[in-house]
Formats: sequence, structure tokens, C-alpha cells
Amino acid sequence: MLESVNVTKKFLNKVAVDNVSMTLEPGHIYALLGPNGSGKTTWMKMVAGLIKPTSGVILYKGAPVSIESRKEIAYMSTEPYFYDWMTVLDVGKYYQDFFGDFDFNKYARLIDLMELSMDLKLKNLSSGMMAKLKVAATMGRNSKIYMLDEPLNGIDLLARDQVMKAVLTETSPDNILIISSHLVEELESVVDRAIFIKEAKLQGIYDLELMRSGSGVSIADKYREVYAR
Amino acid sequence: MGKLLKYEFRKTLGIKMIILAITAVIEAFVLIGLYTESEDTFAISTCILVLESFVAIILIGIYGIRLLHKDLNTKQSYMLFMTPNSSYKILGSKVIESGASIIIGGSFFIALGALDAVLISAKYGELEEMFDALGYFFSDLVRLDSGVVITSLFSMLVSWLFVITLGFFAEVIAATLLNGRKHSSILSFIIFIVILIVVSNVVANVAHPGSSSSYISISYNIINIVIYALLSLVMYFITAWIMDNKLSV
Amino acid sequence: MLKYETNAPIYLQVVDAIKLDIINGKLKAGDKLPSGRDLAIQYTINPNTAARVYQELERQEICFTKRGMGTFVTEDHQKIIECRKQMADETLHRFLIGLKELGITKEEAIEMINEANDICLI
Repeated sequence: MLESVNVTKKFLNKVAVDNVSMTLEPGHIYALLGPNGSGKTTWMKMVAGLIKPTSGVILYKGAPVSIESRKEIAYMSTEPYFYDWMTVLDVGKYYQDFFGDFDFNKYARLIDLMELSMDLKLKNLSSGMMAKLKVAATMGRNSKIYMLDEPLNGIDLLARDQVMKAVLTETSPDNILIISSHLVEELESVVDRAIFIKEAKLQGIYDLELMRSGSGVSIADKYREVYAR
Repeated sequence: MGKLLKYEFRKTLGIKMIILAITAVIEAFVLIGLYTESEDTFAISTCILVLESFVAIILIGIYGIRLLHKDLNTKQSYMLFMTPNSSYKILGSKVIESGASIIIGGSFFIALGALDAVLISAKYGELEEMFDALGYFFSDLVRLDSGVVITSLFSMLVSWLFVITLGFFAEVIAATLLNGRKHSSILSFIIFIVILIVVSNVVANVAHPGSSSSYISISYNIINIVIYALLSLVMYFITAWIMDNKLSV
Repeated sequence: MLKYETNAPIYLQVVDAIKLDIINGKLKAGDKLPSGRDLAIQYTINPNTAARVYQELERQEICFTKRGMGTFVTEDHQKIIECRKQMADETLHRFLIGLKELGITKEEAIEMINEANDICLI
């Protein structure tokens, strides 16, 4: 459903993504792993159509990603991006206004699950609450592909549980879910496939249960193996 | 596109409220001066009001350009570019918002000025004389008639709209080249000034050969309007094309 | 929330957790188990892993699936007793291996169990 074909992105002074080719299938939760600056965010932004590849192409349902594909591909950035004058309710209304696949009831359910409330002003949210709100807004859509960039960044353990449960609650077998993180252990039980990116290049895609039952290797073990010098 | 417009107006609501509040304060001084017959207060506050109205219209335009700067170079950019809207719509809503705000703002200040003139005449009963004097002043010195005044106003509006679209263009070029790094404001300002000087010189020399700036006619204004309207349109399409094809946010 | 051993298959760890719930009576014979999706949420595991948990439980005949109704705990009490026996064997096996590594004989071990009356066994 999602294909990255020889995708390269060069910025003025560096290569952010280097010839990445892979195919992602529905019904899986992918961990996109790699240290900061390895190109995870750049790749996801290309899938979201926010950045154009220097060469290569990203295909969604066989066609290059475009403004049209944004209707079915939900992307959540690491940093907060909502307008600062908004309330939690305004965020829902904004998504309702712009995304045909947004379900306000689902959003309200998620806001409840995350122990937030509609009348909260974004100015007054802690970083943990903001992180939860971003997940609620993104998962409030009924998209085909969800990409969450570092959803567990800067939030405490309890909030991490809430976020992971919310993510599991709102995915279905025809979804592709991609979660980037450097908190590898946190994703261990939730994802079933791991994509390793090293210095802008694809290092490999692994089936986690296969890895654990075959050679008793955990995702964290693999991470150390791939990135240790 | 209606949804985009709605949020563009929402984003610029703050500055407009501030302008409105300041205007109300100045207007209060004008009225206090008028009714307490304090000539100094009246004269000074009237001057400030006229000055403020020009500054306000310019400020609304500049604010629109700064807003695009924020929408391109900060995390806020996701709010627009994540949505399934083409850059033609995103930029179009910004151009329309700026244009509409200038017209509405301009009309508001003209109406306020007219209201004050009525109040002055109600108090002193000298309105007709005043307008006569104004009419003599203009027609003798600058040889203006109503046609020229109206076309001049339109000409100002359209050239201001062009300046704003040029500002948008400069912002997008800077953001595309620098890709969110620092100094994009400086670069965009340089691009903006250079193109503005070049274009206004070209328009002055090519479109109005031999005409001196002291002589303004209807035909002069209409040529100006057509040229700047076309240039605004060209700027809009070039900018939106760059956004769709080259810009990374 | 279950803390997982990250270098062993997670589905087997959840299978063990559910079997434990059945043995100690938290889940009774014939009880309906959560849907695969709810199981995934409850244990914070991947939905595919959850599906595999039920496959494994069915393979071991601890659970059965009624078409369109969901997954249920077996009504065969014999199975549950067998399951208990099997898990006890596994635990004993691990225990004995641990003691063997420490060089403790079977006799010493029995003596130690008898003396360890601070642990409430049965």
C-alpha cells in the first residue's frame, strides 16, 4: 500500500535520506527506529507530502503521494504545531474543518481517555498534555496510514501508557501505523515490525516476534547491534 | 477555501482588535477636544487619527506577510500544509484576506472621517464652506476631479495588493532556499526591496513614458491599476507554483 | 500492566498470563475472553500478537472459538487441571535448574523447601 522507491532527499549541506526503498503493508504497526538526525522525520514528511524527494518516489496505492493522498495519510509531528489561541475544542473543530476522515466523536472519546477536557486552553497545557492532544487529534481521523513522530517524547510513564492504549484502540487491520521513537523499549510490545534507519540509509526491516522466537533477540538488542560502533 | 479563509481571518483578528481599540481611544480624544472646545487636543488627536489610519492599513498588510512567514518557517506550518489543500488555495486565502482587510479597514477609516466631519459641522455649521475650501484647494493646486480621486484610490489599493503579493513571493523564495534556517526574514526583505524598486521603476518608465509624477490623470491611474492587478496575479501564480513544487516545510 | 521479557516471544508470555488467570480462577471455565482487539489494548500488545495468543490457546485446547461469538475458556475441567500440572512442571524444572547451577542436591533442596516456612505454599 505504501512504497518508497529509491527515495533520496538532499538538503543544502547534507543527505537526509539516502536511496531508501521499502514496501509497507496494512495490518502492521511499524517502529521507525534510528538515532536523532538519521532521517526518520524527513522520510515521514515526504510520505505526508510536506517535503518533496530530491529523487525517487513515494507511492501510495500505486500513485505518487500528493495533496490528494493527504486525505488518507495522517501525520503527527514531534513538535506542537497547533495555533496558540486554540482550545482543545478548537483543535477538534479545525480537524473537522479540514479532514474529511475526522470523526469528532472519536476525538472526544480520545480526549476523555487521555484525561484532557475540551475547554482547556493550549497556552496552559503541559508538554505531556500537549503530546496527548496531538495523538488524540491525529488518531481522531479514520485514515489509512498514521505516522506518529516520537509520540512518547517528553511525557511521563503514565501518559505513555495512555498514548499507547489510545493508539491500539483506534487502529484497525487495514491501517498502516508508523511510530518513530528512540525509546525502543517502550515500543517493544506494541509494534510487530521494526524499520532501522542508519545514517540516512535503510538498514533493514525485521519481524519482531520472529526475531524473539528465532534467536531470542529483542528489538532493543537489535538496536544496540545495529547502532553500536 | 471558505474554511481556509475563516482561519486566516481568525489569525489576524488580534491585530485588528488592537487597531480598533487604539482608534477608539484616539477618536475619544477627538470628541473630547471637539466638545470641550480644547483646540490643541482636537488638532493633535485629529492629526494622530489620520496618521494612524494610514499606519493601520500598512500594518495589516505587513502583518499578513509576517503571518505567512510564521506559517512557512515555524511548526505552525503543519496546520496548513498537512491539510489536503493546494498551495493555490492556501496562498489564495491569504491574498483574499489581505485584500478584503484593506478594503474593509480603508472603508472603516473613511466612514469614521466622514462621521467626524458631520459632527464638526453639527457643532460649528461650517461643513459646506469647509468642503468648498477643500475643493478649491485640490482643484487649483493639483487639478483633481472625482474620477481622478476614485481611480487614484483604486490605484493605491491595487498597488498595495501587489506589494503584499510581492512580500508573499519573497517569503516563499526565502523559505524555499533556506529551508527553515535563520536569516530567512533578512533574505526575504532584500528580495522584496530589490524587486519592488525594479518593478516600480519599470512600470514608471515603460508604462508611463514621459509622464511626470505631478500630473495624474484617469488614464494614468487605469493603466496603473491594470498593470499592478496583472502583476499581482502573476506573483500569486508564481508563488503558489513554487510552494506546490519546490517548497519543503 | 504486564512487564514483558523482551527477548522471548511476547505472545507466549501473554498465553502464560491468561493460563495463570484460568488456573487461579480469575477466569472461569466457559468464560468469554475479550476480543482480539480488546486483548491487545488490555495487555498493550500488537493486535497481530493478540490474534496469535488465541491461536496458541486454541492449539493447546485451553480456549475455543464459537463462530461469530468470540473466544471462550474451555469447559473441560480436566484440561485446566492438566494445564496447571504442566505449568507447575515448567516452574519446577526452572527451579531445579537454578539449584543445580548452585550445586545444591535434591535432598538439600527438599530440606530447604521444608524450612522455608515463611513462604505460604498452599
